Amino acid sequence: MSPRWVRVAAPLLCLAGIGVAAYLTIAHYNAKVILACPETGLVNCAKVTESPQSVILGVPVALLGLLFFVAIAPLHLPAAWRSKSALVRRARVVGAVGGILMVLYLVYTELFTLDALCLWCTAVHGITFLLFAVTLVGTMQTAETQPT
Amino acid sequence: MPQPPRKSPQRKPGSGQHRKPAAAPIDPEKVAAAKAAKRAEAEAAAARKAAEAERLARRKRQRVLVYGAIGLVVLVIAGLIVVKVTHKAAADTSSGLQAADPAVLGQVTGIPVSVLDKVGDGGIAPSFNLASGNPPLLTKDGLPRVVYVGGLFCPYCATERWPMIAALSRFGSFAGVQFARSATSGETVQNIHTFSLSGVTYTSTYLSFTPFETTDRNHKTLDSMSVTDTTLVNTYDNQPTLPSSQTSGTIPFVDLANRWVLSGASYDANLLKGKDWAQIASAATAGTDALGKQLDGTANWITASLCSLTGNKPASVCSDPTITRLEARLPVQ
Repeated sequence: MSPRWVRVAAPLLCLAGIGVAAYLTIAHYNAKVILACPETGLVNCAKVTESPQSVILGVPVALLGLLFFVAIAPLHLPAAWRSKSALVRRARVVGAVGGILMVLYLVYTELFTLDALCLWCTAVHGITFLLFAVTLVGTMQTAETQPT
Repeated sequence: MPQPPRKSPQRKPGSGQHRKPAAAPIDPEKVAAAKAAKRAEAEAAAARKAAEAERLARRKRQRVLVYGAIGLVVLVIAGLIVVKVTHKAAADTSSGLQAADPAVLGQVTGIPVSVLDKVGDGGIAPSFNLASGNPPLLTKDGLPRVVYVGGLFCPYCATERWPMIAALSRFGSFAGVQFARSATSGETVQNIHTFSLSGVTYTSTYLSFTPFETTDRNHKTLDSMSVTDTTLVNTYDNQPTLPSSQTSGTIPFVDLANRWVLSGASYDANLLKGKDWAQIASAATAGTDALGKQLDGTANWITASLCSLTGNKPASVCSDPTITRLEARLPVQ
């Protein structure tokens, strides 16, 4: 049985991820929605979200983020965490690893290609990292409680 | 001395002491079975202990793996930040200016008409914003006056200069054009290879051209503008001439004799990224790839607007069917 804290934390993180990624996606498609973000030195949301790097293969990164959270959210529902299916467990870990690799790429791009940081994007990165940590620790603790 | 023989102590009646019964004979099979059972029990205990040790070792490995992975991610992100903060790449603070290669300049100022005709509109439609209030034609010495305002750091100005020079060269000639590069930091598109229009002389019998590069590559003041020209820019590089979505004061700003205003780059600046002057000039001369088409297409659009300003003079340029077609597509007051 998975620990209770994991069954609470993981869905909440998914929900937060969907919220912030949806905000970024709306701001990308609707010019009237301007991100609430200061423009001080390295912090400049517009520079990041309007850069050529904000689109990968024609798909906005913000939309990719939203799709990511929507796709993995069912795997983090309490019922999914209670499931003994190895497929669900593996899909959850693969999703978490894929998410964190994307975050590393995006952080690198922000720091070294764009020379700017977007606070809302950083919030999504933080949520993805926490979800990665919760997924790994939760999967490990669940395995430990199962009889050998 | 001889000792008297010892007598065995006498048992008292009712003392509870009895004579030991005679020992039963030992069954070797039972002994062996007992020993085997004891051995099996010891082996089972050892196996249990080994399994427990193995389980603990596996758990330890899993923990190392999980916390190691999390720690690795933290380390990588921290490493990226440390590298960013401590090893900030030395920005190229040079002027970015150098003498222009006459051959490259010749390519840009002499793009074959056959290529320009083939490119047509280049698949793009620059925003020719009508000057608000239908002002009279801006002139200087009786000629329609074109005013350009940009900065050498600015990548979009760098992008726009290529088709501007190509188009204006069909109506006159430039002197004093230098190679330039846009800024290497602080901009989304960096180090675009281009020309500087600061201090150039433009000679034409059809047009007057006044360029201002207000800041150099390092954002230091370069060309200063007269009060009249500053007012001109403040008036038309602004709403309502510009659409509400566009920021006022955007550069590059091109005032086409107060009839139209171009604000920002007319084509994709990313197409010039990583290309040197010769490569861009070759693309313009060929007019086949995306860069060549968009650069030449923008040049055609600007040429069409200039023809409209000069009363379609010179005819050698303005009677070109490609130009007349584009001229007909320009917005009118």
